Formats: sequence, structure tokens, C-alpha cells
Amino acid sequence: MKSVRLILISVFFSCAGLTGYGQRLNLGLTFQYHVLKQVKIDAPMVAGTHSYSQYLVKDNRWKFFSAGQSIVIGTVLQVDYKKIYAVVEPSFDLNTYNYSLYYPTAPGVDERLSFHTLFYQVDVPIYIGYQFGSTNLIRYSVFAGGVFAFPYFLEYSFQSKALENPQEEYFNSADMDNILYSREGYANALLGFCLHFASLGKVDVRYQYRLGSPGDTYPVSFHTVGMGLTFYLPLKLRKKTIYYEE
Amino acid sequence: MKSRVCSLIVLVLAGCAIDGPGDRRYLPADADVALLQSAGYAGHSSSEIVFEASVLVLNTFYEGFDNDYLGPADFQVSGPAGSYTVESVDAYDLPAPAAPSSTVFVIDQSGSYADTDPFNTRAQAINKFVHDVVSPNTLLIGASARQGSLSAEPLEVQGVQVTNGSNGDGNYIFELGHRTGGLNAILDGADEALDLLIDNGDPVARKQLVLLVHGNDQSSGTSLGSVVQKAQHAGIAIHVIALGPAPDAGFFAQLAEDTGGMFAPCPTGKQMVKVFSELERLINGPRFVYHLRVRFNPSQGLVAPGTEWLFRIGISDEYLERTYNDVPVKINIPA
Repeated sequence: MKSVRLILISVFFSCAGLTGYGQRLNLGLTFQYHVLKQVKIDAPMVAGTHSYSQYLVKDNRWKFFSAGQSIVIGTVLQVDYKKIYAVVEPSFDLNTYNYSLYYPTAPGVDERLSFHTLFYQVDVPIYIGYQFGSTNLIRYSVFAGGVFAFPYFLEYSFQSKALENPQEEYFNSADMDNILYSREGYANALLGFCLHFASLGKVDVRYQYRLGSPGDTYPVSFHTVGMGLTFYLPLKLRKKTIYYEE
Repeated sequence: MKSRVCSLIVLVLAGCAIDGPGDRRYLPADADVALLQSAGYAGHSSSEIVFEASVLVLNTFYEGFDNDYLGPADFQVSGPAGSYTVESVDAYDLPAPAAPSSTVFVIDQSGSYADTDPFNTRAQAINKFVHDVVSPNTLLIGASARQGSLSAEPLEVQGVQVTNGSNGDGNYIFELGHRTGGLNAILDGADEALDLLIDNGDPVARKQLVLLVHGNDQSSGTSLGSVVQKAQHAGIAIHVIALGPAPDAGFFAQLAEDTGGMFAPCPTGKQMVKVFSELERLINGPRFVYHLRVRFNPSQGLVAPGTEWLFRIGISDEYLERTYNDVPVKINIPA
């Protein structure tokens, strides 16, 4: 965690320095919605962290909506230099995950338990993009970087498929602690494709991959695909003529 | 200035930590249950029987020690028609045994647990018991049934030798939930488990066999007497945890009594879980025991030598307003 903080601070100061060299500085607002997610536990069975239960892992598929959603609202600071741009997006992220595990109860019968995690977190995506093509209106770019996430509120719960089961009497809702979530900040790798609309804004599709697992016991990977919409504010910040305007 | 403010915000956020649940692990064990520690014939005449019984009382609110404040008025004895007199109730501590234990635990896999334990809480409870066992004590886990889904009949042993609280193969315990079925062959299973203890057990260890049953034996060729005899000969205590209303309380109480083991009749799954939550301590740690001496005068008929009598000890805790399960006591009048 200490290394993440160091990286973060270093990148912040680097970005601040970059603005001095940039040809254009844009400030904007971003809205992102991530609905395609995959949570994958690489083990056949997991032991609950706060109980003596063990659960079968049976469903690691990519899912639309049902694996969770992320709603991100944030600010964008973008510095352009020729075809390259660097972006910092301090954002609020309402980040949810759903993951179903199965508890063996009888021959051919497993009870499905869906563990839900809700995070309020501050995300700081930092990435660099390269604009590889342009028309009069649209420019295309790819970008890559990292997203540093700092959860400050966590809520967890679970539901059982068997309605007659008073779940809390049999299972612990915190059983996925340090398996599907932890309370510490974490980093994600970020990769995306972006369409820039003149100086108005941009639309991107982005893929995030969490670096490392929340806990040490089980290897768990998190993949997220979402869309972002960014509007640049009409501010007269640093504005030199840039390559596509020449 | 701006970059300083930014870095300060980042540092504050990075230092945030969300409080989590405590370290205590959850087990659905909020139930009260009484166990038979031991029982025995003390004397008789043609018109009376005197017997003694020791019981343990596990309370919802206590974890790691036993209920220790009950008085004579809290014990009620019932059974055949007649008058009962609780002559004395003594309470005493049983210190932890000096020698380590070598335990084989056998789960009755016959039939279905749909009525008695539909959510397989037994797996969690057994898992806790496994975690509680630490070196130099040892534990071997097996399952028993005939014509069911086990890989060996009447006893399947996974080879899970557990020491130092490590859950050698916890998955095995939970996957057993998928493999119930077949006929009850608990006596044959117990007989093979005794052989395992005799052949492989540590010679200086206290040897224990723990049975979890939820029905009566349906298919064993081995008799109760031969199992008892083998256990007595090898100095092995057989503890029985009987889940639900089906198991014959007198039968399993006698199996435990005659081999120096405990008998835990658990009408509900949660009472079973409570027993497992304390089982390691009950086997290897100190216990608090109530010792009762009871005089029974039958209202009709005579007490004949060689007869069997089944009594029940009821316990009510007026202080906590709790009523515990009846503890069966089987008394054989010597021939």
C-alpha cells in the first residue's frame, strides 16, 4: 500500500509539472458506467473468513449487470502535447459487486448464496493516451494507465436463494472479507479506446483489471468494462494550436 | 499550492481504513443442550432402584465453560411410573486429562438430513471441531453408510489426519453433504473405526470414537454388545451425538455409558452445533459436571434382576428460564 501511495504522489507531481509543457490544458467532468464485470475466484472451494463455512465456486463468468455495477462521477484534467495526452480523473465511484457461491446441502442440491459488496470509493485514474487518427470532427486514441482506488465506505450483505432459510442464522455476511474485498486501497490497470469530439469532449470504452487479490488466501481477479463520457468545461486555460488544428 | 492540497487530500484518503468485523468466527450455535457424562447402577431391591448419573450442561450464553449454578430443584427425573427422589446433586470440576487424545470421528451418512439439518450446519460445526483439535491430539474423520454414495462401506475414511488445528481437507467434510443416502450401518462403521484406533492409534493416547448419528442402525452385522466389548477391551470411549428424534436414545445412551463416553441427545440441529462447538474441550479439556444420585420406587411390579430401565433427567434453569433437552439414562439391573 505504501508503494501505491508513493506512486500516486509521484504521478501527481509529474502531472502538475507536465502542465507547464502542455500545448493544451482541459478541465472537464466525466461520467462512467461499468456494467460488464467478471469476478473470478481461482479455487474450487473457499473457506469463509468469519465462519466455519466453506463454499463451492461454480460461476466465474463475465456478466452484464448481475456481477455488479460501477457508477463514476469525476473531474478530468487533461494535458495534450502533440498526439499524446495525459489525464488525471479524480472521481467518486459507487462500486458494487455480486458474487454467487454455493453451499452443499444435500445430494444434487446446493444453496446459492449471493454475496454483495458496496463500496463508496475515490478513484484516481491516471493514464496516457495516443491519438492515432483524426478527421475534421473526431480523433481516435488509445490510452493506458492505472486507477488507484481508495474505499472509504464498505457495506456487505448476502442473499440466499432458499427463501425459507433465515440466512443470518446459518451464514456470515462478512465471509468474503479478504476474499472478495478488503478495506485497503488498491490499484487497477487501465486500457481503453477513445473518440474525441473536437474540443467538446470524448467518449471512451475502458477495461480495468484489478492488480492483485483483496486477500492472500485465494487468487481472485476482477475485470470491468465500462463506458465513459467526458465534457470539457469552456475555460480558457492553456491553449496553443495543436496538431489537428494546423 | 494546488499540488500541495492535492497531495494532502490523496494522503488523507490513502490513510483511510474501514473498520471490519472482529476476529471471532461465526457458528450458528445459540442453543442449550445437556449431555450425559456417565451413568451407572448403584443398587436395587425388589421395590427400588438406585442409580447415579453425571450430566454436563452447555448454555447458550457460555462459550468455553459449562453451566455451574444449578441446584437440586433444577433436576427432574422421569421414566417408568413410580416415585423419584433426587437424593443428592453434587457439582464438581473434571480437570483436563493429562494424556493426549487420538480420536476417530464418524459421520452417519445414511438416509437424508432434510428434516434434521436441511442447511448442512453439521459441516460447519464439524469443521470447527476439526479446527479446535491441536497437537499432540489427533483426529481422523470418516463417514459411514451402506448402499449409499461412499467409496467404502461401511466406513469411508478420507485419510484426513488432523493436527495443530489445521483443517487438513475441510472440503471433504462439506462435500459429504452431497453424499448422503443408503442404509444406516453405524455399528459396523464403529467396529471398523475401533479397529483403526486399535491398529494405528498412539499407544499412550486416550482413544476416542465420536459418532454423529441421526437414525437407528438398519444393516449392521455387528451387535451392540460386540462393539461395546471391543471398545472396553481396547480402552476406547465412544461418544455419541444423536441428532433429531429418530435415534433410539436408550440404545445409544447405553453404547456411550458402557464405554465411558458421553451421550449428547440433540433434538435440533442447533443443539448439535452447540455440542460440536464445545466438543474438543469436552474431550480434551476441563469440564464441570453435575453428579446426581436418584432413588426410584416403581408404582407397580417388582424390580427383577437382569432387566433394563430407561430414565430421563430433565433440567430446567429457573435463573435463565431455560429448559434443556432430556438426558436418557439406561440402567441395567445385574442378573
